[in-house]
Amino acid sequence: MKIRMFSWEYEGLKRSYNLKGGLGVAVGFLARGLNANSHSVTVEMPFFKSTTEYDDGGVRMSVHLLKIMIPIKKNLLHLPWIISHIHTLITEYTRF
Amino acid sequence: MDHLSYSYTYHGVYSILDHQLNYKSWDAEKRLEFSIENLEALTKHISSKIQPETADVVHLHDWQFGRVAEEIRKSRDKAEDKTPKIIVTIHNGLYQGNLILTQRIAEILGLGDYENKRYSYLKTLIDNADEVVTVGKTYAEQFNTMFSGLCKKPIHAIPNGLDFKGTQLYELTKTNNLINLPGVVLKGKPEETTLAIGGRLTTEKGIEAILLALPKLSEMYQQVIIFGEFQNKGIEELVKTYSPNNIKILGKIPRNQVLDVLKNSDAFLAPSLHEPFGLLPLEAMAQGAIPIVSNVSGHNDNFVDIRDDSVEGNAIVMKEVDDKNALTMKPTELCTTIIKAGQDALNLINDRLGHAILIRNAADQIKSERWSIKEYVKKYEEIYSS
Repeated sequence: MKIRMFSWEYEGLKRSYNLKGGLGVAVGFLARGLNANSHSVTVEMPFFKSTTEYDDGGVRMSVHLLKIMIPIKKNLLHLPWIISHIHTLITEYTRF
Repeated sequence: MDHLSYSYTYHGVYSILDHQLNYKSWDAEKRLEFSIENLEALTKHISSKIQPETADVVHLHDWQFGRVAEEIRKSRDKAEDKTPKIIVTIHNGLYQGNLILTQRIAEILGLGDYENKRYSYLKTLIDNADEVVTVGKTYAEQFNTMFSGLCKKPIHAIPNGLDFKGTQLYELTKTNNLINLPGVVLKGKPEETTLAIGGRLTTEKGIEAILLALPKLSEMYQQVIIFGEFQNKGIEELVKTYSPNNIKILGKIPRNQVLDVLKNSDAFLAPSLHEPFGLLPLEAMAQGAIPIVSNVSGHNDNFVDIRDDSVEGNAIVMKEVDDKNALTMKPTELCTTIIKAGQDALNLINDRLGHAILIRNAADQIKSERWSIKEYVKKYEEIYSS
């Protein structure tokens, strides 16, 4: 079975992406368990704050970068950006 | 860093949704619109990549993917196909991505009439799911009472699976001859006690009451260790300012250090007002610390008060802090309950036999299949295939 998971937390075998706990751990164990049962599993975290892609014991792990810069100057928001490392996605907001 | 920019860099793009009502300003509205635009951009991006040939199952965790579910379902309906199957797991129903529509937000979301209307990402997620799952039996049973009208579908309960290998109780093999309970090893001396508090230090985790109870707890225990992130920086500053020397504030620490802290603690305090599952007190229990827990959903599933049940008892349970009372309980009331439970845990540590029985019960449960990952995965496989 091809399973694509989307989550904003994930705890991989490398235990390098633990942010807060419950959700990340639950998704991590599930993804790895499914993979061990011969399913094709991808975990994607499009809301995470760093970027990487790696094979986590067979689970393809994609972490999309969502970098937002909001310097506040004279009460105006400058241009924020969304950048996805895996599939480039840049949206420019100018209307502010 | 000012407060609003902090909220972005800390929580991410979706931060402001559940806090919208706290930010009644022009800036707040613009920031909210900005959040929604980002979520929409990501939704379009994700859903454009999901096709029947690229996924049999799309499993979405929590409200941020509400619009993704909606878009996938639309594509499916258009193609008259039921693939991919949309599975949703709600890890915490308190976070729903609720907002009051503005004209601009209604435009972004493709909604028509917007005036005085609210929008819920979680509801959108649930409405478009084929199957809805949450992380505990009690939580599933109570979901529609707690969040009336949010979910009209049956909710599956699949408790999280956990791997306890390597934890103190899982590996427990030695015999403590003093108390004649084979396989039970107690931690240090009763006069050298450590209380740990940690995780997400938020209102729903009872942080205000913990703050009030800290002076007393720091008198009762030789050491109090606090780890994790304070959501409210004001509370963090307060704790830091008046803390006596025996309160250690570690901040956000890596997971291996969390497990070390738990391993070296005699008790772990988790007075959550809302808890779908409750991972940390279970991890604390596996490391030989006595869980001092509230009686809300997830805790109710996982913990039994040792004072009531010497066969299954694995914790000190604050029974009055249950799903009916917890969210309306005043911090001062909860504080009194915490102090009493903290004292009861100390009494248990001093009563070596009672403590040993709790540890033995906990060890038996840790080694059983109760939180088996195999079962956890199997239940999801059944739902994927149903």
